[in-house]
Amino acid sequence: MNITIRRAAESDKDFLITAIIEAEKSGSDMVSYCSIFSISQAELKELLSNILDEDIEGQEMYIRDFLIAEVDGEPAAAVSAWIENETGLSSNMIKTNLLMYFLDRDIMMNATPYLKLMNEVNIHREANALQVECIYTSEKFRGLGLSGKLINEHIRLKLEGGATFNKVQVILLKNNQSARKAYVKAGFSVVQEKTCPDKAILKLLSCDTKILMERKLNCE
Amino acid sequence: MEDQEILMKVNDLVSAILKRKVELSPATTAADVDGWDSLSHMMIIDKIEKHFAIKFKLKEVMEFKNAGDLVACIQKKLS
Repeated sequence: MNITIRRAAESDKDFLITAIIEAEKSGSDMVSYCSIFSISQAELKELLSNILDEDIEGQEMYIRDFLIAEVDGEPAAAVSAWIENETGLSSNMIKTNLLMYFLDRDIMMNATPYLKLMNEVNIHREANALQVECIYTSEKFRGLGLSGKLINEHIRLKLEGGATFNKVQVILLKNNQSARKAYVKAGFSVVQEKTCPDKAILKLLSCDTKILMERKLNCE
Repeated sequence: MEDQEILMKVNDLVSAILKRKVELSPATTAADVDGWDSLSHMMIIDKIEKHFAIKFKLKEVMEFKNAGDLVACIQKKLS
């Protein structure tokens, strides 16, 4: 079994869209983007395709910031990583700008009550920390430690490129036990928890609590 | 319209969205203003576009680092 890791390219867009959607589901069958914006999965795929095509750095949906693990030449896993606030804007602001640009303005405005709910459970990303997101391994390749390998490779490449960060952060739903175990194995520990007091959040997410896990690095 | 006038109007619009008086200067960033998160940002941009009857391009909003950048872009679109 030959495992290789490489940067994603435009030709990987379909695989990345699958990765983004499946990562968003966090092991459930709920896709929060669809619930928040009242769009179908087909419309969501089109939205994600448009966002990926824009090549905007500093947030999770930038093709060049994805690494892909291949097993015997087949795409098996993907992880996105970026340094928060490196472009001068938070990843949340950048993503909001992208969604506003591609979604009909009425759709965005109608989503306001749901976005307010999501705000109650969203955890602030620390500036200058390496953020990892959209962590996905296709079912047939689970158990090979691919997400850990991808995270390590992201760290190595960013440091090699001159970035100076001393922690890596990942945010996930508290009920995503398999992901949590994988991150603990990769050296992460839970540092923060945030629960939405309004149980209406369960219309959007499979769990009312998000957790922030961190891995500290000893950078020279 | 003078830049200062535009800034004052943006100030009013931001204050209305955040439901409190804010004091923006050209150097003010979103991070400097309590409550200016991604959700309020969406409402602020929408309100500004409607008030000034303009539409920002994606590239333009991505380049707003502070209130001064926002005012300059509005000015450019109004000219």
